[in-house]
Amino acid sequence: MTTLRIAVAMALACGLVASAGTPIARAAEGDVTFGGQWWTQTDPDAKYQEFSVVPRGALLESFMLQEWSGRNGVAVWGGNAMRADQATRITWANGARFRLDLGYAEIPHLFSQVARSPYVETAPGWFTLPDSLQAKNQRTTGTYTATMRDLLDTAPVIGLGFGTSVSTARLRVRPTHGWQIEARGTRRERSGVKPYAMTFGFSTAIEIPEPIEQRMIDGDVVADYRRDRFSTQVDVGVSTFDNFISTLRVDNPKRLTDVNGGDGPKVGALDLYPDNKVVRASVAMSYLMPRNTALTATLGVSQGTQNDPFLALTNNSALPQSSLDSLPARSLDAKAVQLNGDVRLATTLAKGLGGSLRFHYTDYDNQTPNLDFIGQVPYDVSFQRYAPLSSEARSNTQWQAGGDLDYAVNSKVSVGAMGEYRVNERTVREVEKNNETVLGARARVRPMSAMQIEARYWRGDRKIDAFLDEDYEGFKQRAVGPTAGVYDSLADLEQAELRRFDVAARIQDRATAGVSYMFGERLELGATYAYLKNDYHETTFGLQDATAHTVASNGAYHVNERLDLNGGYGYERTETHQASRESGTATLSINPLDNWGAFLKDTDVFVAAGFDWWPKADKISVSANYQLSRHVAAFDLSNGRNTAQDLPTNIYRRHEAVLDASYQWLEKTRVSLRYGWEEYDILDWATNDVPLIFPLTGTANAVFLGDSSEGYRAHRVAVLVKHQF
Amino acid sequence: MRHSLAFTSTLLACSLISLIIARTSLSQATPKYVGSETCKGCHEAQWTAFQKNAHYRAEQDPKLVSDQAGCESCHGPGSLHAEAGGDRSNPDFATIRNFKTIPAEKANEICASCHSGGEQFYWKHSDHSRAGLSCLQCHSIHHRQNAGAGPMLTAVDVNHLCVTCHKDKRAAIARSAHMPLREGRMTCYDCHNPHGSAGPHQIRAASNNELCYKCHADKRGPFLWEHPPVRENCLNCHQPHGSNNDKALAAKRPYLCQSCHIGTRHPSTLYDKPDLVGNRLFNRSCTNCHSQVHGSNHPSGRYLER
Repeated sequence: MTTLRIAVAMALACGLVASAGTPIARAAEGDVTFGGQWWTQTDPDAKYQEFSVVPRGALLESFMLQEWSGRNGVAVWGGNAMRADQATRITWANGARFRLDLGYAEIPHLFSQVARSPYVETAPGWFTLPDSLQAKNQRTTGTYTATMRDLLDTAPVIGLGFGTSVSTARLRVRPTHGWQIEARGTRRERSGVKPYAMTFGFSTAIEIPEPIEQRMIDGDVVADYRRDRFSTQVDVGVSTFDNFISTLRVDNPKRLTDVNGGDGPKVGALDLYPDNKVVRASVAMSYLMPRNTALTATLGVSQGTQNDPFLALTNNSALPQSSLDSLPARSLDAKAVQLNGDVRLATTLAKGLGGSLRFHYTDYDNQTPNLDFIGQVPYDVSFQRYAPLSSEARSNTQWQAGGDLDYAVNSKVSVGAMGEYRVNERTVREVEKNNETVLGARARVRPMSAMQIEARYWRGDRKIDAFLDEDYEGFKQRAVGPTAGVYDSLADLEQAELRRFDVAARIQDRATAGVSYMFGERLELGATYAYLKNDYHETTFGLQDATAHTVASNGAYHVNERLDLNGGYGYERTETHQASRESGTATLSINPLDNWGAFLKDTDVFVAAGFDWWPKADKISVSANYQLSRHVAAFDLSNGRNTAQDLPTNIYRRHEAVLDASYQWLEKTRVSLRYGWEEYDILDWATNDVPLIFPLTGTANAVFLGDSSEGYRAHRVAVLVKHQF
Repeated sequence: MRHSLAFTSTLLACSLISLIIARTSLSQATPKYVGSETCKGCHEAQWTAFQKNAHYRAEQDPKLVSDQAGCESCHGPGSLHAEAGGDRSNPDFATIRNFKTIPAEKANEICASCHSGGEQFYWKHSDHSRAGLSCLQCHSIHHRQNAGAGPMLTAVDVNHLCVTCHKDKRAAIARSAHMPLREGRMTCYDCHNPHGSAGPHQIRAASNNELCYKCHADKRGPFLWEHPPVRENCLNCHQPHGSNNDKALAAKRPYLCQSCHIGTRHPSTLYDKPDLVGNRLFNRSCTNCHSQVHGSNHPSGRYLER
C-alpha cells in the first residue's frame, strides 16, 4: 500500500511539474516498456535473487519522460513501478541556476523463503512460545528433544527478508557566478525480519526472525565558492539512526519460571542496535598555482552520540542483578569525536615530470566513559562476578603520508614511483601501534596509439611497535570467591603466540599488469592480472599468509553494422594458511600435538558472453547474454596427531542466459520476446540442510530457523512492448 | 630608363610590403563567435540532440556560464571553421576545438571551466586524473548511452561503465554474496566518486567505516562493548565488492573468526569431519551465539552474546 501511495504521488508530482512550465517552444519525448512475464522456478528459495523481485504477470519495466521548454527541463524516469524493487526519479532544472532531484527506490533483501519458526511475535520484539510447552520442558527435561521436534514439525514457514525504502531529495542552486549551494537529504526506512540468534547457555542458540524497524536520515548542506584560482567547499551535515525495536525478548523453551543457574530464565533479553546521531562539518580549500600546481586541504570534524537506556544485567528475576540498581549507570552517554584531515599537492616539476604529495589523517576519539560493572550474566542464566569488569572506550588514529612521481619519458613511455608511510594507532589492544612503509613503481607503455600496457608493483612492510601482554584480549582474571568462575587458575584466555591479522607484522606484495588494445574501430581487447600476497611472517597462531592471483579480461568485436560480439573471462585463486591450537577443556593447552592447521583454497571462475544482432536494420534485433560464476572452496586440514580429515568441498555455481528478440512493429512501437534461464547450485556443509533442531544426534540444544541454502532452476518468458512518444 | 627603374623598384617594394601586410593580417586572423544557428547548418543532428541536453539549458543563463553560449562555449569561436565550409585541407577548418583530437588534459580543462566545484572539487588529485583519463572517456555530451537526466555517460549505466576498466570487479559483483550492484539497486558511484575525493580509493567519506555507516548506521555505535577490528575498519572482515561467503565476509566462518581467536572450550576441532554436526562449524558458526559481533550495548554483552 505504501508502495502504491508513493508511486501515485510521484506520478502526480511529475505531472504537476511537467505542466507548470511556460508553454513556449515546448518539446517532449519519452518511452514506456510494459508487458507480462511467466516465470517458473524449481525451488522457492532464491539466494541469488536477493535484491530483486521476480515479476510474474503484468509488469511496467521502465518509463521515461523528458520535457523541456527554454531554460526549463523536467525528466521523470524509473523502473519496476509498483513493485517492491521499484525506483523512480524526477529532475527539474531551470537553466544552470536551479536543479531539483527527487528520488524514491525500494531495495528488497530476501534471505530465505523456507525458514520455519514456532515463535510468535506477540508485541514488537517479543517472541513467545506456548506456556504449556515451556512448563512441560521444565517439568520433564528428559523429553525436551522429542517435545521440540514435535513442535518444530508443525512450525509455520516464514519469509526472512527486509526491504529498505530510500527517499532522496537534492536541491542545487547557483545564485551567481562562482557560487553553488546544494542541500541534499536521504531517508532510509528499513522494515522486515532477518535471522538472529539468542543463547541460553553454552552452545544453546535459539534462532528467531529478528524484527527490523529502523530509520536512517542523512542531511547535508554543501556550499561551493570559486574565484579565480581559489575555491572552497563547506559541508555541514547530520545523520541519525532510530531503531524502533531496541530489545529482543525471546522465550526460553526450557523454562516457564526463572531460576538461578541451570536452564536459566523464562525469557532472555538481547539489546539490539542503539539509536545514534552524528553531526559533522568539513571545510575544503583549493588553490591553483603556476606549473599546473594544485594545493587542496580538507578538515572535517564530526561528533557521534549514543545514549540508549541500558537493560539490566539480566532479565532473570531469580537473580538480584535483574535490578537496574546493579548497574553503574542507566545509560552509556557515549560520545565519539572524529577528526579528519587531508592535504594534497599536485604539480608539474619539469616537462613530463609530475609529482604529488599527500597526507591523510583520521582520528576516532572515543570519549565514552569507562564503566565498572560488578560482573555479567552472559546468558541470563547465572551471575559471574568480576573485580571489576570494566568497559573500555576504544579509539584509533590512522594517518598516511606519501608522494608520487610520474615521468613521461616520451609520448609512448611513462614511469612512476610512489612511497607512503602509514601509521595506525589504537587504544586498549595488544598492539597499539603499527607503522608501514610502502614503496612502489609503475610503468606504462603505448607501443602504438591503440595499445597500452601497464604494470605496477608495491611492497609494504608493516611492523609492530610493541606487543602488550597486559592489553592482550582475554588477559583478564575473575575475582576469587563464592561465585568465582572457571578461569580463576589462568591468566591468559588466548594463546600467547596468537597474532591477529589486522595488527600483525606483515609483508605485503602487490602487483598488477594490464593490457588494452583497440584494433581499429572493430576489435577491443583488454586483460588485467593482479597478485596479492600478505605474509604475516611473525605469526605462529592465526592467519599466517594469504595469496591471491586474479585474471580478468574482456573483449568486444564489432563484426559489421549488424553484429556485435562481446565476452569476458575472470579467474581468481586465493590460498590462505592458518594455524591454531585446540583446548577442549577450560585450560589452555600448550601441547604442540594439539596444534592444527587449515589450508584454504578458493577458486573463482567468471565467464560472460553475448551478442547483439540486427538481421534487419531498424526492424528486427536479437541479443543474447550468458554469465557463469563458479566458486570452489577446498578445506585442507591437518593436526598434530594426524587425525585430521578434510572438510567437504564447497561449490557455488550460477548460470544465467537471456535471449531477447525484438521487432519494430509500428513507427514508435517495438515488441520484444524475452526468454531467460538461470540455474544455481550450492554445495555447502554449513548451510545445506540446516535442521530445525540441532545437533541431530543426542540431546538437542539449539533451535535453528532451517533457512538452508538451496539451489534452483528457473525459466522465464516475457512479452514486452516499448512505446516511444 | 632611370624613371622606369625607380618605378619598378617602387612597385616591387610596394608589392613586397603589401604581401607582408597581407600575410601578417592573415596570420593574425582570429575566429569569432558566430552562434549555434550557424553550427546547425552543417551539424543538424548534433544541434538537435543538444537541445535536449542539460548543457543547452545551462547556456540559456549566460551570466552564470559564459558570454558566448551554445556550441562555441565548449568548441570555441567557429567563424573560421564555418568559413572553411567543410574543407578539411583548409587550416581554418581546425580552428575549433575538436575533443577527439586534443589531449585529455586540455579537454578536461575546458570541462573544468564550469565543473570544478561540487563533485569535481578533488579532480586534480584524483587517481583518474593522474592516469591521464579524459572526461570524455566516461561522458558523452552528444551521444549519451544512459537514459534519464543523470550524468551523460558513454555506457548504459554507471556500473557497466566502471567495469570496462575495472574488469575484476565485474566478476566480484557476480559472486554469491554481493551488494545490490548486479541488480542495479546500487551503483559504484554510491560509494566512490570517480572525480576524486578526500578519502582513500576515492570513496565518498574520510574512512571506510564512515562510508559504510551511511547505509549501515546501526553499526555505528559507540557501543558499551566494542569489537576492536570492527571499529577500525569494516574491511577487516568484509569484502564490499562481493564474496562467496555469507554477509560478504572475507573468509568463511569459523575460519575468519579463528584467524584472531583461539579460545578455550571452543574446541577448534575444525578438522574432524565425522563430528561435523557436533562442533561449531554449522549454520552461522560463531555468530550462532556471538550474534552481536558488531558491538553490544547490553551490560552483559562483554562477549557479544547479548
